[in-house]
Amino acid sequence: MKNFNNIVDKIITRLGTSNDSEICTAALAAFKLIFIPFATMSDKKSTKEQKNYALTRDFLTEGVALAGYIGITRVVKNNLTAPICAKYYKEKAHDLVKQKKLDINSVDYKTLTNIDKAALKNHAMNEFLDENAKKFTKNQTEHIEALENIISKFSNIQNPKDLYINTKKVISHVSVCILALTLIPYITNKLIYVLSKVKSQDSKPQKTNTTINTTLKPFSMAEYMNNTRLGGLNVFNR
Amino acid sequence: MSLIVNFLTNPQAADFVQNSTCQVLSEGCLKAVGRPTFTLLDKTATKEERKYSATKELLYQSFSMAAFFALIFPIKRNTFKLLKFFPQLKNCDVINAKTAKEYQEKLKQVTDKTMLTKIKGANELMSIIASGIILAVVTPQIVTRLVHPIMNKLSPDETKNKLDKKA
Repeated sequence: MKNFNNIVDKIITRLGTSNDSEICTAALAAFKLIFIPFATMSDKKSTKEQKNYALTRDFLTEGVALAGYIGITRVVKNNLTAPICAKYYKEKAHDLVKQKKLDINSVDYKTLTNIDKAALKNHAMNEFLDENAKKFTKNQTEHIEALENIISKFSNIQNPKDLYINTKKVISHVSVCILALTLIPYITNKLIYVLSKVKSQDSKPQKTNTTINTTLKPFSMAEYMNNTRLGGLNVFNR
Repeated sequence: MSLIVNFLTNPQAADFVQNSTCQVLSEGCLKAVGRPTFTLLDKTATKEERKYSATKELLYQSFSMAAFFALIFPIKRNTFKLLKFFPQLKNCDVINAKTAKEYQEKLKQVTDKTMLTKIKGANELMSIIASGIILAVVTPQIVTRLVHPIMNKLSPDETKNKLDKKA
């Protein structure tokens, strides 16, 4: 019971601090992975083939969704957040130069345009997840301090920690949306294709045992017209 | 500043995507477009199989989004009544609230940041569980009963042919 309470405590603290999109969508995918195939199986009006296909599709889609939301989204947000934050500071520096608030040869401009991505990530994650945070090197600490000094001079620039956390949340949601719209159904289609290939290979040896009896039928114009839907023209009765 | 970077780094966008209702609704609407389209594009299955699966998927996604939209807000307004089941919030006065108004007032009085985080997290957890029950347990049962009558209405000729063949 104590362990259960600890797990619940961790979950609610995590959801309260940062309710990233992949947590909710992965939880729903897990729910659906169990319950939707049950609902499909309970459909008595569909044919066996329809049910089998829908069942395979439901199961594969939710399985891929669960893995994708946890795996791909995590990889995407871990690798894209820092470069996007760096791009944000770079663009802000260019804007400030255009507004003549910052000199292009100044140290501040160079600091803003050459962000140490690893330092930014460590700085944001340090407070966020203490256990996983790596220790700062001296250079990284100095870089972050310099960055915070510059930001304090201007009102419209986000501080590194907030920027990193906000960007991570949005990237996580965008990644989930792209996965839901295109990647998950696409991967499911590919998996179904592979499954059908495997299935057809399994059924091939049975087919080779049967002898094919091909006999040529005499050509019948009336049958040909019927088959090609030209029978309606009633050519022969004229 | 480029539009994409501006959107991705926007603090308001970050606040918006933190809400589990917004997450489920946006993901579900995209799924309602993507999944049936890809099902119809799948050439490994027969036309009948694809049609059944795509109709079921489209119906399920649209119906579940409508049901979710209708049910989640009243549920979310009342999740505070279940906060007393969390032993982590035992010392917090919020769990004694009897009405939504009283809950909001008591929530304003909470000064401990950790406790506020836990209350928010508990609400989100219950919202996720409620979404799971609505989307994965209730809606599929209704959709499996609706899919055939709707398919028959969409293509009455094909079902007639099927019945003729069976006869």
